[in-house]
This record gives sequence, structure tokens and C-alpha cells, in this order.
Amino acid sequence: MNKYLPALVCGFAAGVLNIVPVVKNFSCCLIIPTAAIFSLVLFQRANKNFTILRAGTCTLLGLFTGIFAAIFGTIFEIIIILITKTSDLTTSLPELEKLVKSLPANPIWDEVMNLMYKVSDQITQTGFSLIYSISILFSSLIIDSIFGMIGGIIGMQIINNRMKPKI
Amino acid sequence: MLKSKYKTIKIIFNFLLLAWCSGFILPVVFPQLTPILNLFYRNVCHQNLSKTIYTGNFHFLVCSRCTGIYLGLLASSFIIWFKQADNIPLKYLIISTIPIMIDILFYSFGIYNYSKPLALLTGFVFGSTGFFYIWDGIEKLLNELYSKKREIVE
Repeated sequence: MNKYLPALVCGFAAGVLNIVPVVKNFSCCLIIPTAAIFSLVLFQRANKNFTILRAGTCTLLGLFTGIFAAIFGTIFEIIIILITKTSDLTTSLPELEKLVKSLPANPIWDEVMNLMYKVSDQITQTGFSLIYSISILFSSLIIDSIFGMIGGIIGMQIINNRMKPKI
Repeated sequence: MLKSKYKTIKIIFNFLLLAWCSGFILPVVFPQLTPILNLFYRNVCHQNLSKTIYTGNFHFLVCSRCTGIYLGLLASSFIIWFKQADNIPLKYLIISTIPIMIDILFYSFGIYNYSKPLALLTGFVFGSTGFFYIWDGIEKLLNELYSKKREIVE
């Protein structure tokens, strides 16, 4: 449990920070990698083991941080959509329709737009769309996992570099 | 064996980074792909329209700084074919973050207005430096995996 608790804590924090607009404005794409780096620091403290970190452990911790961040981030986003009954999709849909209309006619775009409107209607009426929720979770899991692993690797470099004996 | 594996992984990295960078530029050419691609890029950038790069009516899916970071990563992913980076001191990574910090502080305190080229440039410096640390870490990970595999075989 000690191995995954730091990833859970930092993943939760990253999930929360990912939906705070001001924080997101400043830290942007660095939230998840930073969370992964912090999870390594917590991991060392939790295990009271301050020796050189192994790349495999760091990557795995980064991966778990990313996965937890994606899960918590999606949950918080679903809750916000449920309360506000609006999402990125509903706000960008009119603009998107304008763009699609300006393009050469194609039945595929009509189908895509119909699906988008269906999802948008579900969100504005009930505040929940299963398709939209799954798509958020799926995309978050892929991207946050990759960014988490990158954060874990960078974190390993930082922590191990600090432990090198200074000549 | 190990070297050829690294070559393959370098190629995979080049390809993945190229795909990632094409993904956020693609809406400029195919705007109808925006909602699908946006599902991926919305997780990694605030996508503030005043901070994104425009070409005509269409904009990139990430802000100027993120564009710089990713293009920097892409550029360095090609540089590693010619320049090996082992155990680079941490100071270069810290130095590369200083321009970003100064830029964020200066425009946040109103010393100057947000500048897209400056954000792009500072991001590029950070991204291109950061990739060497990422690659060095990946090489260490690969070495670990191969030595484990060798132990199992022996």
C-alpha cells in the first residue's frame, strides 16, 4: 500500500488542480508531471528509503499518478457538468456547426453533428452524458498516464541528481 | 542488440512526437477534427484563446507556451540521433525553466503584455532541454529492463 499511496494522494491533488481554472492557466501541461515528481518524493519519505531511485519504480509511480489523476479529474468534471449542465462541447458546438457548414457537404459530418447535438442535449437537459463521460475518461487515461510516466522519469533524474556526491 | 533496440525506440519517439505535434496543428487544415482532437489536448493545456496561435480563423489546440514545449521536445528527439546525453547535470534543466518563470512573473505583474512569440520561445528552450533528461531516463529504464531480462535468462 505504501507504494501506491503517494501516487493516489498526488493523483487526487492533480485531479483537483486540473479543474481549477487559475491554477490550470499557470501550470498548464505541467500539473501531471509535477504531481508525479511529488509522488516520488512522498514515496521516498513514506518508505524512509533515500537511496538512488530505480527507473522502473519511478515510471510505475508516474503511471499510477497519471491514472489516479485521470480518474479523479474525470469524476470532478462529471460533477461540475452535473451541477452547471454545461461543458466544453455545448459551448463550442455553435462555432463548430458554422465551421462544418463552411466545408464541402459530406454525410459523415451530418452524422457527427447529430451525435454531438444528442450529447449536448443530454448535458443541457440532465447534466450527464454517458458517451461524453466515457470519452473524457478514455482520453484522460491515455494522456495523463503518458504525462505521469514522463513526470516520473524527470523526477527520477532530479532526485537522483541531488543525491550524487558533490566533488 | 541493445543499440538496435534504442534505435527502434528513438524512431518510435520521433513518430509519436511528430503525431502529437501534428495533432494540435491539424485543426488549422481540418477544423472539423477539432472536437475529437480537443478531447486529448484539453487535458494538457488551458487552451486560452488569447494565448493560442492563430492562422486565419483557425487556431492551434494548445497555447503558445505548450506549442513551444512540444516543438522543443520534437526538435530534441531528432537531435539525440547525433548527440548522446548521459547524466546531464540538473543545472541545465533549472536554467531552462528560468526564462519561463521570468516571463510568467513579468506578464502576471503587468510589466509587459502576454507575448505569444516570447511564450513560444521560452517553451521551446524548456522543451528542447527537458527532452534530454527524459531520454536519459528512458535509457536507464531500458537498461534496467534488459538487465532484468538477462538475469532471468541466465
